[in-house]
Amino acid sequence: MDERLLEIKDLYVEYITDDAQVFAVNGIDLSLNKGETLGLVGETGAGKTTTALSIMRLLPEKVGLIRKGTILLDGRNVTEATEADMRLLRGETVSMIFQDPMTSLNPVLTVGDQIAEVLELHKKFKTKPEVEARVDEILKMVGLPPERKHDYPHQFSGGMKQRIVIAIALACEPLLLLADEPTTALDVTIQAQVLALMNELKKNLNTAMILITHDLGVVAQTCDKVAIMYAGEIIETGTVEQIFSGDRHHPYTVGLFQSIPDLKKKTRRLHPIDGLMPDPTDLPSGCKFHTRCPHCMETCKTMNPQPYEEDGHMIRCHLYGQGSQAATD
Amino acid sequence: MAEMVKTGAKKKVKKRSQLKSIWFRFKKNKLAMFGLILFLMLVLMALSAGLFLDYDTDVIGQQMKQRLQFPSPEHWFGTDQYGRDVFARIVWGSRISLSVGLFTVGIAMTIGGAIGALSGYYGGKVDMVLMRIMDVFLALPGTILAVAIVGALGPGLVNVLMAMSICRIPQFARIVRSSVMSLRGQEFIEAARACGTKDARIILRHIMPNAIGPLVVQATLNMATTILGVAGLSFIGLGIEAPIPEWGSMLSEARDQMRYYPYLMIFPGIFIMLSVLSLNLIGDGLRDALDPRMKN
Amino acid sequence: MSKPLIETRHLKKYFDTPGGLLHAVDDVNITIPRGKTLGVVGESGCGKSTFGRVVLRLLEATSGEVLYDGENILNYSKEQMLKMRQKMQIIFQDPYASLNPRMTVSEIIAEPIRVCKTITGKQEILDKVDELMEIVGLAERFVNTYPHELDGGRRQRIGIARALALNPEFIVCDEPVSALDVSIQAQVLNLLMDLQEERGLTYMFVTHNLSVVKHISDEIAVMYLGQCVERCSSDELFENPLHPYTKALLSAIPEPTLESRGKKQEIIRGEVTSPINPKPGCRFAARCPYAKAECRERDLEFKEVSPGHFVACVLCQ
Repeated sequence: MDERLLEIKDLYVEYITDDAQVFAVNGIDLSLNKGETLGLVGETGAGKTTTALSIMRLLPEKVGLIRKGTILLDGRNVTEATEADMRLLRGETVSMIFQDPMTSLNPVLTVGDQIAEVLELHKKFKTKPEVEARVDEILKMVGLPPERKHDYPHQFSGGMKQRIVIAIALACEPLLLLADEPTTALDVTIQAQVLALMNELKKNLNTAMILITHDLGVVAQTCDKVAIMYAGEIIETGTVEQIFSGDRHHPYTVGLFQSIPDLKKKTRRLHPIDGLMPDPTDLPSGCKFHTRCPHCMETCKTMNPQPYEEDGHMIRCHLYGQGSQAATD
Repeated sequence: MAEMVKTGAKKKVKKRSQLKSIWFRFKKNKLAMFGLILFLMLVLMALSAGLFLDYDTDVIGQQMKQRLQFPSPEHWFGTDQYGRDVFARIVWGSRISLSVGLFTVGIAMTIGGAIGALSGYYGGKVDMVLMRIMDVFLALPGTILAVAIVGALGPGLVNVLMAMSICRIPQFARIVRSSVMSLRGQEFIEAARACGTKDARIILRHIMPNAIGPLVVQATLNMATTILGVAGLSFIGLGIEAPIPEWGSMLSEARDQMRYYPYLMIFPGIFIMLSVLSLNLIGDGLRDALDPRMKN
Repeated sequence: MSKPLIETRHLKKYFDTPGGLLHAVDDVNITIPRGKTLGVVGESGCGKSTFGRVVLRLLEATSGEVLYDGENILNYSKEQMLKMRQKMQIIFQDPYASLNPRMTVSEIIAEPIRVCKTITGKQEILDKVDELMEIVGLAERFVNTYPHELDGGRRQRIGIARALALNPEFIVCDEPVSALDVSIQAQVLNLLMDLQEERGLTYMFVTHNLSVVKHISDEIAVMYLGQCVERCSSDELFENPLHPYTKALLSAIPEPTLESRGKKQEIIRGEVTSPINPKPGCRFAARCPYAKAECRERDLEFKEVSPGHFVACVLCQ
């Protein structure tokens, strides 16, 4: 158990704006061991990014609020840490890659300076030459020639920029990397390159990763564990094998898979999930998915299903497990 | 949103016209409504000036016996150095000041807006030529330009209006141009073009409504400087001629008496402020009302 | 085989940039039979979107021909073109930028009708809008809402309704589902395919998503740096890709299955460069694992290697 790196328990996050209370994350449990990769899958508004921002404690001030729950990161409780503690944790223990490489780099600083800044902030190296040497090393690690550290972000292509972003995130060799849709903005061939790079670095540095994505293909190729989110809840989680094969699944997971056109078969019609994501300010009662579920029963409308677990494969659905009938919320 | 859903519940959804929905959103803005009422009161004052104040006796008739009296029940705002009632002059002056402000900004906004829209939409040579002309105007200080124009055309209300409008055109042209340029590349413009929409319709129906926000703000801010600008022209003898009342020139005439008779300056000042304030509030409200994204 | 609805011949579009002449579309030849779908795939910067716009004459071609029903529309006068516009429409990628934020849903859908005056009379137009909204699956209660109040999927439906307003025969779909979530993406794809079936529409489907293009297209053209490198039927392309770039593209798709996991993918190196003043020869040569000296020397012929399968590669000449 000493391998446990991240442990999220019963996390609730809300956004409070002038006219609405948005229930972004509604009681999720999540755990991750050192060196593991977890795919966090879901559609827009499922609460994936909010979860990641909560771990970083980067929720928008005054608006985003951790209502309940604990986040244990490497033994420390993030929800109770002071801002000063967090500043140390960020970068050294956990760092994050954002979706858009175009906007996550400062356009008026050279990339070398931007990497050096992280190193200096965390006082990893004493002297200037040491820092410079490390910058070169990091650039080489992500497959860029060190000579290019004097160039500015606009002189790089999208794929290279994402490499730089990864370089910055990994500069202090964090234990956990949160990657929020790191390849969505990239072309397929570049995506393949970046994913391969991330896989390799992860192995070499033994970094754990939470990969946030909506692309099940990316998950199948890179992740060890998968958690599927819907309306702020994790509705199914397990190992990749359990999610991608096996015959017991949450109806939403089934719907997601049926929405993707299959490259192998020619199908005339896709079988998407009907309807839309529920409004996070006004979530349905009972199971959040019941309004769109093809197997909706009476209990689904009133009672939120208890997690049903089998060998670490958790499904939150009334279709599975007998206890769910009698359980009270 | 909730309201939309409710109206939608009825079988046949009634289509609300664009003007009506703009008014609907404007009405919800209390400050803007306050500005509108204030402005309407000022306009009403200007229109009704002739009903209870006689121009010849009350406004330009000099009564040296009563000069420089402090505000009293008889002369609400006191009298000036020629014994003229300040209140009467302010009421009559509103006619000139408000119309100078409105017309100048109106003309500058229309012409400047048109130039900016053409320049931003077509780009290339059209843009080059129009913007260089605007640069020439911008290179000269506004007041000097106005002095030059009035000097050439001769003093008088119409000429002053023209001069003031011309030197404000470039500002509007610049603002509109930059918003049009950013809108021009948007896909909804391309969609309009894809079904054969003519350029004029694209500019008027698709681009301008989206570019109006900064324009309205600039217009309301310009009102104040215009009224003061006219005062400046009057002061050097190129604006409104002497006995005709006008807020700006009242302000500049009061300069000599400021130390002992500050009310001479305060009252016209307050009215300039009120008109500018009301227009600013209206402008802000209008900008928000024109943008359907600003629901609350 | 009957006359194709759309045909391009040696279509070129160059842009004058400060760095030199950008060959956005360079000698592309395609045909689309009536009622069929051509998928145009490629990575960003390959000129696929420009190609779609040149075909619609939203951008003027540098040279070449676009035949619509056998007639070259590039020679059409402004008036003729105005008539033509009713027959061909476009659906955009970004459901946020492609709708005028100041107009309500019904105004947006009615706009093409008002412009082209295909229907006159206030009530008639409103009825048509209602009909269109029903076709694309938008509830009537949305007529007075503004685009920003709706989600991506619904917005894209508005875009489709607007494109259908003039009863077109041919629609260019420029990445219509790229900005949508998978479940919504599938809904929109189904809608597009149903519409094609009911109305005999002809599509040109521009996208970078290979699994989507496979699903919806009858024929696929693969573009790289302004040129079409391979063109054949959809099934053929996935079963028997011939151009090295197509192969690389196909192997780069992360498949949502476990069988392909851990298999050593053939990842191509390097990145797409910009086609400014390109050198003669194959444009993929710099990244191609099979490149020979010959590839860099001469322009390659777009050759029919088997019936209906065209490739521009030395390996197949």
